[in-house]
Amino acid sequence: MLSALALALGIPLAAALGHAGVQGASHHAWDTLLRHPSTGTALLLSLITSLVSVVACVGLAKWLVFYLWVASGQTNRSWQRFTRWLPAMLAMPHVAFAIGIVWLIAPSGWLVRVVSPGLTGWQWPPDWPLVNDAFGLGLCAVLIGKELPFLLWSLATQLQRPDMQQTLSRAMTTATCLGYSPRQTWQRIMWPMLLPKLGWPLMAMFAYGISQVDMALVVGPNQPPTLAVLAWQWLQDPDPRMASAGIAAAWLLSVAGAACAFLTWLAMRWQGWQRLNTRGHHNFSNHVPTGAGHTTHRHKSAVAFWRGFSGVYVAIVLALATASLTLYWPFPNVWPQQWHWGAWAQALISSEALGTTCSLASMSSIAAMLWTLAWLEAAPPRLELAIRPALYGLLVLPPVLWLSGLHQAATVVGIDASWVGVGAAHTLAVLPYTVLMLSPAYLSFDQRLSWVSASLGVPTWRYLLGVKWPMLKTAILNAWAVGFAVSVAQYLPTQMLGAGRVTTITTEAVTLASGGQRDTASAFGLLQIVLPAVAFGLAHVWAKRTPYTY
Amino acid sequence: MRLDIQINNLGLIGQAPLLRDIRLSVEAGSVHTLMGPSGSGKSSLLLAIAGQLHAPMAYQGHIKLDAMALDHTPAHLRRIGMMFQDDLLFPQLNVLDNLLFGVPRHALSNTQRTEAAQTALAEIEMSHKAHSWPHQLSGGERTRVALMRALLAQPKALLLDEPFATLDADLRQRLRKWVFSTLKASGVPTLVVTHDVQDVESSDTLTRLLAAEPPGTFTC
Repeated sequence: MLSALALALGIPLAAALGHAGVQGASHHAWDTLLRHPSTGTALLLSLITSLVSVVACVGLAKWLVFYLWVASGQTNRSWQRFTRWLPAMLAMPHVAFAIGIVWLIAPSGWLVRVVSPGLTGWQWPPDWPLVNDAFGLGLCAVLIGKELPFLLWSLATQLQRPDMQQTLSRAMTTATCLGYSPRQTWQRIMWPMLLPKLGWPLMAMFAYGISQVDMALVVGPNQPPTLAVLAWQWLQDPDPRMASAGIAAAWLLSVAGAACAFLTWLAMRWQGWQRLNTRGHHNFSNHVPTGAGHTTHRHKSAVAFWRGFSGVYVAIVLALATASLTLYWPFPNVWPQQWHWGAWAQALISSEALGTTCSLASMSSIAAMLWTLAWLEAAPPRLELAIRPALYGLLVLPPVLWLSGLHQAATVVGIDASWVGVGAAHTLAVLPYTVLMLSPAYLSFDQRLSWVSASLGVPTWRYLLGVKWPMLKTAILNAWAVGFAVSVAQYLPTQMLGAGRVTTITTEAVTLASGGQRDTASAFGLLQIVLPAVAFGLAHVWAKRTPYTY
Repeated sequence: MRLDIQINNLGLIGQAPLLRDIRLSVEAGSVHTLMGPSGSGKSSLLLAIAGQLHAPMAYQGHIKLDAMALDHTPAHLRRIGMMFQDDLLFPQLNVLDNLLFGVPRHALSNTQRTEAAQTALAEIEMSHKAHSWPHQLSGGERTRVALMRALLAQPKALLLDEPFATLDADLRQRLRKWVFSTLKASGVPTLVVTHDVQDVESSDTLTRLLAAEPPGTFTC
């Protein structure tokens, strides 16, 4: 069984990377890539937008966690309220977020309308390149908006661990007794303790930043675009030389990403950082007290920032809902003049996208869930850990790379441009998330219960169905819902394996948004939010229903 | 003789009253032990003195250091060092950097601070372990580094919460002798929470927490 599970994951992965490797090894591919006038700028745009967004997220997360967790007593209501909203933010698909942000911040967007013409005097939208700007500033803003909750969620996961809580709390006590203020302690001791634990999430954020295509198509620069978008465009080119240059571009992204990750890893390991923490201004007699009022003011600023940030998510949902019902909305009116249901009718009735999205998401999330359950149950811990790099590889490798290889493999097998091929790609994309979500609960399950069960003569399958899985029901259902949401949000796997013949609400949303069709794109964007919300709702209801009986 | 730590009519309140009417004083250069049943609030009393008590715990009464009331002074400005049964060396700093972290910067250059830390290392006969990591040290070595780090911060008082509880009997005896003599020589008033009678025998004075009325509260 173990071999079958390993082969089910290993064969498509090996085929995908093998094909990509063979195509990427072509001298002509690299020659075309390196001679193309847009390559350098596109690569620079990819790296800078990704780095800037990661650095900004780290800075904001450090600031927020200090004021909302450390400075206010570490176990307080504002922190609990703060973390409660993170899963909802994470569940919002990237494309829906990007489309919503565009409707908010575009020159003719809601924010400009709210202050026009009263404060600005504008009767026409200003000619500002806020969206699709050449420097990728809009893309950076959207990446920060979507990645910050992920980093905070990763931090919150660490901070919820009892051992970490104890370590940090004692570090705070010790450093305070040595004369360091809570802020200095956070800066010099607690944050350096936490940062190495965030290695994988940061790497995933950076990898996503340089390799994502869907958000870059909606809000990113286009003259030239980022390298991932360029690679994706080349891969669609009927000229085989350009297609192989696309694969070379994907490899270039991988190498650049790996180089940045390696440099960051080296920098984090450099002992000089730690030594800096023992130098510098601190304590007792030379410390200038900041005063309670000052700290309270900063705390209020952090709370206000977080409320504003959360408000953006609410505003995005409102903007998508409003835009999806708009027939005529002249500038600078705050609300549309004429409303209609046409976009929803198109989205719900005249399109197969919704049905395809639901069937793909259901199939891929259930398949990934079954694989995960079987793997976690059957694989010894060492093997389970050994396979992690392959799974994480799917998260940190540019999707355009392994998908191009998978597409080639699917063509050989004869499942390209079909629902089955797209489903296989979705399952591979969903798999790392279901494993990541389920393994902590699964691996920390009290093994002694199985010994007791066996000693009572109960067969394994009855123990699993009657004891273990019912006890892990909440974790299993949550992991399934995450898998469903991940599948709904997939753009590249659908486009590349479906060859344009399989459409989902995400591919429709991206196509319509980059074409400027505000109402229909918003309807699809909102559907992108609604479907995962339904999945999470179902998971919640099922988890609460029928306590297991035996 | 000057009283360095002075506690008057102190009451400790959590979900319910825990300590009441606590009075104790610790003189400069002396080691004072505090004994009492588990859950009687000994460690919480130390946290109250250090300014580290967090809600729902709170105290009433007065804590003075050098005749100055500390009740409204933030923890990091009290100049009260603390050691626990876990040494709490920072795992990401090597031994020398852990010590340097404790050396105040005012009036000292980085070179002087490094010299101070190296002198302290020599004093505990661990110069050869300056660049070792905390996890590479034995229990006794970690305790010595932790005490030295606390002393390098030039505290006005030191609080020890069962500092030898995790050590074996032989090491505990040797370290106790070294720690108590070092503390007395430093002139810092020290309050030690302990369950170990031998700690009490090596100390100068003792306060016992006893059950009081209403049930669940303790006093001395």
